Amino acid sequence: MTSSPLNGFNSLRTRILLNFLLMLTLVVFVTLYTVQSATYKHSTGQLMSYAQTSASVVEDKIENRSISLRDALNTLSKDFSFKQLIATSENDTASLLSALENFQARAAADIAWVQDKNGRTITSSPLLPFKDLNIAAADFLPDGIHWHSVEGSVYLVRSMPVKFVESSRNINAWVFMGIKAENLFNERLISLTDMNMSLIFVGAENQLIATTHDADISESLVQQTILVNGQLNQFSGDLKQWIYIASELGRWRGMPMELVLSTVEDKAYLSYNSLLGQLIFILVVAAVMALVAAVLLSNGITRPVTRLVDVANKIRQGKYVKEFPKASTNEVESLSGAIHSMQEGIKKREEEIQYLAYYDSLTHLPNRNQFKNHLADNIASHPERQLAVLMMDLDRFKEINDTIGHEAGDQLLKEIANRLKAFAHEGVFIAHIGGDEFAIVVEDITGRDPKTVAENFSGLFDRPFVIEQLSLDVDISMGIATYPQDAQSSEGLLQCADIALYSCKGKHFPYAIYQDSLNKYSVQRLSLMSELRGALAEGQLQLFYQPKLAISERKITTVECLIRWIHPVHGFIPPDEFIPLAEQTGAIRDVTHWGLRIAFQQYKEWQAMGYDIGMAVNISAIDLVDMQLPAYVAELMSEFDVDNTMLTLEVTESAVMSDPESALKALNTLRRMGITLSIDDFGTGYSSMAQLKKMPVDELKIDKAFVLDLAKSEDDKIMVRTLMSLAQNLGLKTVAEGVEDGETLKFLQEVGCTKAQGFYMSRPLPADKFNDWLKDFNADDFYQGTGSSN
Amino acid sequence: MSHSHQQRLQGLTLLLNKFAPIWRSSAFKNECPEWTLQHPDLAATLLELSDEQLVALERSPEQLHAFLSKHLSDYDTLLALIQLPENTDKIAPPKFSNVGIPGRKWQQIMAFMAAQKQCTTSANNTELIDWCAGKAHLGRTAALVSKTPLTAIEFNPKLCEEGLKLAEKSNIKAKFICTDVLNDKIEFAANQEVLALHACGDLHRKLLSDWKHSNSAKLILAPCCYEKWLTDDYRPLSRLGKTLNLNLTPALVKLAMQETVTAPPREQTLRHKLQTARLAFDILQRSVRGIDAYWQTPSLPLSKANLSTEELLKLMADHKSFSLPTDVNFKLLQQQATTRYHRSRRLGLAAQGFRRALELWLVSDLALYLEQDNIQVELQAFCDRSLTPRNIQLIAFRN
Repeated sequence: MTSSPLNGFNSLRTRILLNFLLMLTLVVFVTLYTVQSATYKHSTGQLMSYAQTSASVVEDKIENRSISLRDALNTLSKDFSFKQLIATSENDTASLLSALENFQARAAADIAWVQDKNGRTITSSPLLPFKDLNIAAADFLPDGIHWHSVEGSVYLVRSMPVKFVESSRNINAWVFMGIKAENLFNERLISLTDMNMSLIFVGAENQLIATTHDADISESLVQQTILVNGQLNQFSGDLKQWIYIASELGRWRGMPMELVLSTVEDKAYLSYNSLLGQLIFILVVAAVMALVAAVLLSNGITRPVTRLVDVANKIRQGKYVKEFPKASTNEVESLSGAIHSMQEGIKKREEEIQYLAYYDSLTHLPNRNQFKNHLADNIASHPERQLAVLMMDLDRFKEINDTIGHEAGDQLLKEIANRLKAFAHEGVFIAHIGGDEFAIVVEDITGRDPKTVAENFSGLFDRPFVIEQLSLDVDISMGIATYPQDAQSSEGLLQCADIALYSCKGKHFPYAIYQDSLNKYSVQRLSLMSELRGALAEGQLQLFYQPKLAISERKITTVECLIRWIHPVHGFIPPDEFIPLAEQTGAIRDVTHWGLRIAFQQYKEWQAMGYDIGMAVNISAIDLVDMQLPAYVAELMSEFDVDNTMLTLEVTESAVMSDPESALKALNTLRRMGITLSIDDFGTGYSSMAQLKKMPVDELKIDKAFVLDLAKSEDDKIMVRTLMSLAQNLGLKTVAEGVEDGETLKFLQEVGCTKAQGFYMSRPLPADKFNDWLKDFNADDFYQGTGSSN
Repeated sequence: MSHSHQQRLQGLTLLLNKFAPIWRSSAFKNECPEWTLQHPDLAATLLELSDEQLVALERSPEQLHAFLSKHLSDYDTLLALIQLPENTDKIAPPKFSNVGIPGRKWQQIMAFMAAQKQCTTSANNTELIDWCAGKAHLGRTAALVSKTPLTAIEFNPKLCEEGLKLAEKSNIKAKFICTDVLNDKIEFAANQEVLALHACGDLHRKLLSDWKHSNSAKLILAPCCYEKWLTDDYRPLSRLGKTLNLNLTPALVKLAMQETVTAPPREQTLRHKLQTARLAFDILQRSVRGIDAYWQTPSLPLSKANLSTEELLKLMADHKSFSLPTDVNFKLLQQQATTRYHRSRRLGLAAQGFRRALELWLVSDLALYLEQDNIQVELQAFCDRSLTPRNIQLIAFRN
C-alpha cells in the first residue's frame, strides 16, 4: 500500500475537518440566514414603521394645515363685517374681495372664495375665471383632508358656512380657503421625514398632484402600478431602486388620494447592510478560528492514530514493535492496547500457521511444503551429494477407512508415522505429504543401491499394525527417484518419484525405481492429445483389417477394422493408447466417423473385387450416447449403396454399461437398421446377465485374456465353455479373439464358437496386404486333425 | 328658535342691508326701482299679480313673507329672525271691568294683561304704574286683577280727570300724575312696576331711559309709532344699534309702522284714489318741469277724497306753486296714473315684506339698550297681529 490511509478523502483527519467544515458552514449559513432574514425583517419592519410614522407625520402636518385653514375660516365666517360684506355683495363685491384677500393673506392660503348657498361664486381670490365650482361645500366642512382641483391645480380645501344669524339653521353663504398641494410638500416636510413624498391620485392612470421628487423619478413613480397595501413596495427610477409606501391622504372627488413616501432602497437599508457586513466579518473570523481549532483537535486525535498506523504497518511487514507510542486519549490508548494484543495474537498465530504450514497436524510430521523446502535446501547446500526421494502411499487405504472408520484410519496413519519416525535417523527426512502419502528424503546415498534403501522402508510394513486391537496388514506402494540421476530439481525429483510410485501400483510389488521410460510414456500421452485431430486430417491414421474366420463355414466372412496411427515421429501408436485419449478429448466421434467411411470404401473395393466381406467397426461409449451415429451410418449406407447387413458395430461391454439406457436406445435404433451388434471384450466387465439379456446384440466377442492360453489352461477352457453355453443359451453368436494356435481353434470348433480371430489366421493387415493374404487364404491350412472332417 | 337680542339685531342688520335696495326704495316715487334689475324675476312676478292676489298679499304678512321667500335668497333667514314667542295665556277679567273701553282696546288690554300677569312679582307692596295712561284702562284693569295700587302718568289733564273717575268707580286705589314725561324726569321706586301699552316714539324711548336709571323691578312695554318726534334719522339707543346703525330716515321708520290691516275697505278705496291722484300729479310735473324726479307732495287727507282728480291736481299744484298746463288730457293722465299706481302697489309689496323686520330691528335696539346694563329683557308677541300690528311686548326685569 503506497498511499497512506491518512491522506485523501477517507482520512479521519479529513473527515473530522470536513464534518467540522460542514457544520461550521451550516452554522454560519444558518446564522447568516437567520440573522439576515431577522435583521431584514426587523429592518423592513423599522423602515415600515418609520414610513408609517412619516406618513402620519405628513398626514398630521397637512391635517394641521387643514385645521388652521378651518380656524381661519371659522374666524372669518363669524366676522360680522365680513358677513355684512357678503350680505351686501350684490352691490359691492370689491369690498368683500378686499376683506377676503386680507383674511387669505393672514391664513397663508393660496386660494379663497365665497359662494352663496346655491353654490354660486360671489367672489374669489385670486380672481379666477371660474364661476360656479359645483362644489358640495359641506364636504369640505368636516375635519380632515379634502382635496379639490381648481383651474388645473389641486388644493387642500376647507369650507365654512356663513350664517347671518349664528344660532339659525340657515346657511347664507360658504367661504372657502385652499392651499396648493405643491406648496404643502416642501423641503421642511422632507427634512422632517427624511423621505421623498408624492401626492398621487391612483386610478386607471395615476395622476401626480405634487411631489418632492425630481421630475424623472416622479415620472417613473407615476408609471408604476401603485400598490396601496400598507406594505413596502419597490420601483426603480434614476438607475436606483426605490421603496415606497402608499397611504391614504384625504379624498378627492370622493376617491382616496394617496400619499406615497419613498426613499432610495440602499439608503433605507444602510444600517442593515453595515450590520450584515459586520456580521459576515464576525462569522468569517469565527469560522477561521473554529477551523484552526478543528485542525488542532483533529491533529490531536489523528497524530497518535498516525503513529499507531505506523506501528500497524510495521506489524504488517512483520517487524514487531516492542514499544508502543503513548496516547493522550483513552480511545487511542485502548486502540494502542488492542494493536498491541493484536500483535501478540498475530505472533502466536503466525507460529501456529508456521507449524501448520510445515507440519501435518495429524502425524506431526513435516508436510509437503517443508518436505519440498527441505529437499530444495538439501540440494542447494550439497549439490554434489546423491540422495534418494521416496514417495509412498498405502494400498487400498480407502477400503481400510471404509471398513474400520476414519478415526481408526487416522490412528493407522499415526502408527505408520511413528514407525517411520523410529526409522528416521541422521540424513533421513520423513514427511507426511497428504492423505495416505508419505515422502522420505534419504541424504547422501552415494554408493548405495536405491533398491536397498527402498527395501529398508518397505520392510517396515512387514509387521501388521494393531489398531483398536485389530491387526492390520498394510501394503504400500513406493516410488524412488534419485538425485542427480533422475532429476536435478526438487520438483523434478518428486515428479519422478510419483511416476515411479504409480508405475508400481497394482503390480503387487512394494516399490518401483524410477526409469526414464515411465516418464516418457506420460509426456507422449500429453502430446498425443493435441496431435490426434491433426493426425486425422493428415492421413496419419490407417485402417488395418484382421479377418474373422467363420469356424464351421471355414471361410472369411468378416474383418475387424482396427485403427492404426503411424506417427511421423513416434511411429506406430497402438489404439489402447490413443483411443482413451480421443474419448477424453471428444475426438473419438471424428475418429469413428472416419473409420466407418474408410470401412465402407474398402467394402465397396472388395465387393468390386468379388469378395463379400462384412466389416466390423469398433465404436466407443461416447458414440453410443451420441445419437449422431445412427444418422451417420444411414447416410453412409445410402451414399455407398450397400446392404446394411455388411456392417457390424463392436462395442465394449463397459461402454454399454456406463450408460445402459442411452446405449440401449442407440443399439435398438442401429439394430432396427439391420446392423449387426457385437459386444467386445466380453467377460472382462461386470455385465449383469439381466442387462445382457435386454441388449439387442447379435454376438459376443470373448476376450483374448481367456483365449490366449486356452490350449494349455484348463481354467480358461472351463471359462470359455461356460461363456459359449451362455451365449448359445441367449441365442448369440460368439467370436473368440486372440486365437494363436490350431489347438485353440480346434477347441473353439468343439465348443461351437461361431468365429475365430487372431494371429493364428492373420495379424491385422493394411488393405493391400490383406488382399494378398485373402488371395492365398486356404481354410484347411488352419484346421488340425478333425478339422477337415467337418 | 329664540335668538338673543344681539344676534337678532346683527342678523337683521345684515339682511336688511342685503335687501336695502328693496325696502329703501319707493315704488311710489320711483316707477322703476333699482332692485328690479337685481331681482327681475321677483319684479316680473309681482307685476303679474292679479288684484285679488295683490290684496291677499297686502292683507296677509304671512302670505307676503311666503311669497317673497320664494323669490329672495336668504329671506327665509330674515323670516326666522322676526319670529317671536307668542303669548297664549288668557286671564279672566273681573266682571264689568270692560265698561267704557272700546272693544278692540279691551281685547288688547286683556292680551297685554295675560302677559303681565305671567310676569307679576309676588311682592306685597307692589304698585303699578301706567305710563302715558290716557284714561288708564290698562292700569285700572291691571290693578283690579292684581289688587295693587295704581299710579297713572298722563300728559292730558282731561284724560287724567276722566281716568281718575273711572278708577274710583272701579274702587281701586289710584292716583294720576299729570305731567309731560318728555321734559320731566320720572323716578320709579323699586316696588313699582311700569306698564305702557302703545307708547309712541320718544314717549317709550324716554320711559326706557327713565326706567333704566331707576330701581323699578319690572317694565312691560308695547312700543308704538317709533317715528314720532323723529326730526332726523333714527338714532339707535343701544351701543350695538349705534354700531350697526341703519341710518333710518323718519320715513323709513314710518314704513315699518305702515299697516293696512286696520283700514276698512271704503277707506282703502279712497286712499287708492288719492294715491292715484298723487301719481297723476307726479307724471304731470315730470313732463312739465322736465325733471325726471319725484317732487315731494304732502299726503292728501282722506277728507279730500271726495274731490275730483282735477281738483286734487289743482290742490297739489297750488301747494307747490306750480301752474298746471291748460291742455292736460286728464283722461289719459288718469289712465297713466292708474297704470303707475297699479305698478307701484305691486312693486311696493316687496318693500312691505321688510316692515316687520324693521320693527324688530327697532325693538331689538330698545331691548339691547336695557340689556347692555345687565337688565334681563324679553320680547314677545302678546296678541295676534290682526288685533294690533304693534303686538310686540318688551318685558324687563331687575333681579
